[in-house]
Amino acid sequence: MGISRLFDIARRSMGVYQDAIYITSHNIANASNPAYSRQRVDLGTENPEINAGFVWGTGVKIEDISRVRHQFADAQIRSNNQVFYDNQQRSTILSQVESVFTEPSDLGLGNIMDEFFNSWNELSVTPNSSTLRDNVVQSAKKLSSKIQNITDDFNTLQSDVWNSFKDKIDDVNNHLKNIQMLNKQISESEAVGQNSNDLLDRRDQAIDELSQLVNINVTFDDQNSAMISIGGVYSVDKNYVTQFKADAEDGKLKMVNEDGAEVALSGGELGGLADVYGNQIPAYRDKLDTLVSALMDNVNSIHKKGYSLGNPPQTGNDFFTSYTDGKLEINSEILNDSNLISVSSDGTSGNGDIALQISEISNQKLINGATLTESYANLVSGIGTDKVSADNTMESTDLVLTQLEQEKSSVSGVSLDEEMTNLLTYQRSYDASAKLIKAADEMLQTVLDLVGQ
Amino acid sequence: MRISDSILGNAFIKDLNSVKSRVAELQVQIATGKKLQKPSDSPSGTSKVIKLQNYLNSSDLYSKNIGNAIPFIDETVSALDSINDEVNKVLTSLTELKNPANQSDLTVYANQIDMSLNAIMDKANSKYDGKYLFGGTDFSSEPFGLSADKQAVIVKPGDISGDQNIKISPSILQKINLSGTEVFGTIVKQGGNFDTAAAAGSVFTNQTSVYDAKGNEYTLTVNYTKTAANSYDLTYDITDSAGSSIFPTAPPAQQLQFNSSTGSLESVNGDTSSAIRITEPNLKIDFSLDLSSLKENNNSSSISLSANQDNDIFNTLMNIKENLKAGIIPDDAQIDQLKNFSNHILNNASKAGNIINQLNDTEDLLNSKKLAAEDLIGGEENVDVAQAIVDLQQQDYLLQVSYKLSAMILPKSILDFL
Repeated sequence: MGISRLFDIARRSMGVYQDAIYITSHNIANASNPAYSRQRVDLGTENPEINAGFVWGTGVKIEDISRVRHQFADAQIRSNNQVFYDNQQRSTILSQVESVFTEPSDLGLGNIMDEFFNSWNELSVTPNSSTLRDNVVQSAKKLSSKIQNITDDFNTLQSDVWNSFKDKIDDVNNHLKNIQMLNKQISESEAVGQNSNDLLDRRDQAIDELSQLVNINVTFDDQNSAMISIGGVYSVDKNYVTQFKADAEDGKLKMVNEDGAEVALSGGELGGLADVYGNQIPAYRDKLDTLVSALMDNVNSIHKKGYSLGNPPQTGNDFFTSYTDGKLEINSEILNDSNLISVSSDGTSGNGDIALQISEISNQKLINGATLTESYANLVSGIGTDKVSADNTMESTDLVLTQLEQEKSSVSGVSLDEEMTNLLTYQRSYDASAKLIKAADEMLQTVLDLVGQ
Repeated sequence: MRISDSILGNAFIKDLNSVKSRVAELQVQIATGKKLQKPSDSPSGTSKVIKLQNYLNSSDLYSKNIGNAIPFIDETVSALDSINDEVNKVLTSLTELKNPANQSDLTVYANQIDMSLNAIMDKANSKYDGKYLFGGTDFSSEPFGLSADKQAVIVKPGDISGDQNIKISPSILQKINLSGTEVFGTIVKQGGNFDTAAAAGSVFTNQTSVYDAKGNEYTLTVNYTKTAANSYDLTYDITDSAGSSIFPTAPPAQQLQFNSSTGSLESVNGDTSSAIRITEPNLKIDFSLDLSSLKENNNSSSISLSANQDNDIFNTLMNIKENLKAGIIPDDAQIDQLKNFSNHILNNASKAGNIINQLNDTEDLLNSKKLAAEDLIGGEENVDVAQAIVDLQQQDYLLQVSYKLSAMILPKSILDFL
């Protein structure tokens, strides 16, 4: 055994601890990077030598620079992401739907319907009053414009959802391209036995973000390439990537790839957007349409039987002419001349029976055993309930996600205390190795001095 | 558990956010005084508030209707009072005329009666808020006026029998007028019971005397022919003293339908009204044939017609006046007629008084129900401010503790001690 062996061991050891300090510095530098998984230097002993019947240690080496990762938490975070972001989108849009109805307030449709029917009732008391007739026309106009407003707001909301849907599909496409590129780099590194820790972090982050956007299913092959299918459509591996585009058909939002395969959207932001656009908002609109149509049909069928003011009184007129696409049209002749409102049941100017019957519509059970007000209240409280349910799911998933993030962070996150402690240890080891060289040098000097004498 | 640096930071931020969002929520609640800002704050509460608001809105309307109706009836009562005063004035004059000393100048009395007649007609034609008090539901012209030959008072627009009804509660429709027919009209009452067992084709006939505006006597004949079970055809005719019909063509038959179980009249020509108006304007005959007490049952009784023309005060006074001008002193029968009319007016005034009472009672009830509904809305919508402030203080305390703790722990690391 020569002294030079001491130099060898010490030199190698200095190199190892220097590398270890590099890794520590990398960890410290990424301490605040949420996507970063801390890396650990796994030290091992060099292969020993057998000499003179003894086994001699030959120092330290780096076995591996490993990435500390909680795989189980990863999969759970992704599946919870899909639920959380789905409901987050719902909640955001539903809170806008709520504001469309401006309830509970004096400006809501509920109050405006009351005003409309009450104006008829008031007119029934003094049927020949032109002020009260104008009042009926005004309240009908107010009703019509409120319904128009709600419809316009719904249209705006749906077109916002559509735009957001398209943007998010672009995001999905970018993520897919990114993941394919990373897959390729990772499998190339793995093939030559290099570690690809930072690439893996970047890919994990991309997959996490993808799971926020849409429902995905992830599997890994031998070379650690991620294979992802989105809602049943195979989308990416290391050699293949597909691109999606948004499509709106029959009032539904669709996500299809180049080959025309349609994604079954069930989660993530896109899932939430598609469901709100295609199911929830249309259901609310249907209910509103049913309500307005029932109102119009019943007002008209009674109004037709009545007689207007004037000589001779007219009969058989509609009060509303049509309700299509959220436009409730009032008979234009009545708009011009409120005397044409049919209030009388027998043609006499002081008979208000028809107006009274029209005002009674508000008490009749017209829609599935509910009055107009009741079914409107159901519609509004239904939106509230949907919003609350989205909020609740979001909150509970958020709790799970937080828990999982904490678990993940507990395993993969950087602890500065730990790194500083490691730094001290590695630094001390480095110092000691240097000291060893100095000792070896002195030993060598001693020997050389012997030779020199 | 291994604690990385991000765990503490993230946990702190998360907790801080949840406390702060609660603080923000409480702040809005305290500032607006409402805990129900949007449906999702309480879906069931929102639904309740909308329904209660609907209830309140309609209650407000009922109150408004009552508010509009009361002055109208007040006006009706005061008109009836004035009419009664005029009738009593005439009665006084007629009593004076009993004294032969006063019979020298009948024209003076005739003029007095003429003035009273005009005053009564003026009151009978008065209106409130564009509506004739005694015009039924036809406001196209004054209800009463002189005929073309100025010899009689006739109903002008054609129908003064309509009821003005207003809604004063979800289920109560209150009549608020006394129609011209009720107060001044001549009503021929048909009474009696038909025999349920009578064969189809059986005919029932009855007659009574009626008078035109000038006091000429006519005979009204009403025939009922049974057409089927519970169904009768009604035909009528009016003949003058010579026995010839006053109608150029016979009036059409009216179909009566009786209820098979209760026996009461269900409809006339498919309409639920139980009166038929019979007019012949040229002869100033105008009355309604009231069939409401006509029945069909097992206890058949003779059917009878009775005409009471006392309420046609205008033509009664007109006749008295014309007679006075012609030197004829009114007889006791005419004085009784006026007394009867005066009673009739008093009865109607008390009817109107009852309507006012009913309206006032309903309004009181509405007000107390409105208060209850407002309370319920308040319970759903309003914030318990004291509670909210206590909550806010609690959250504020949590916020401060959380700031303080994190300020103590987060900045520390091993670096501080190396």
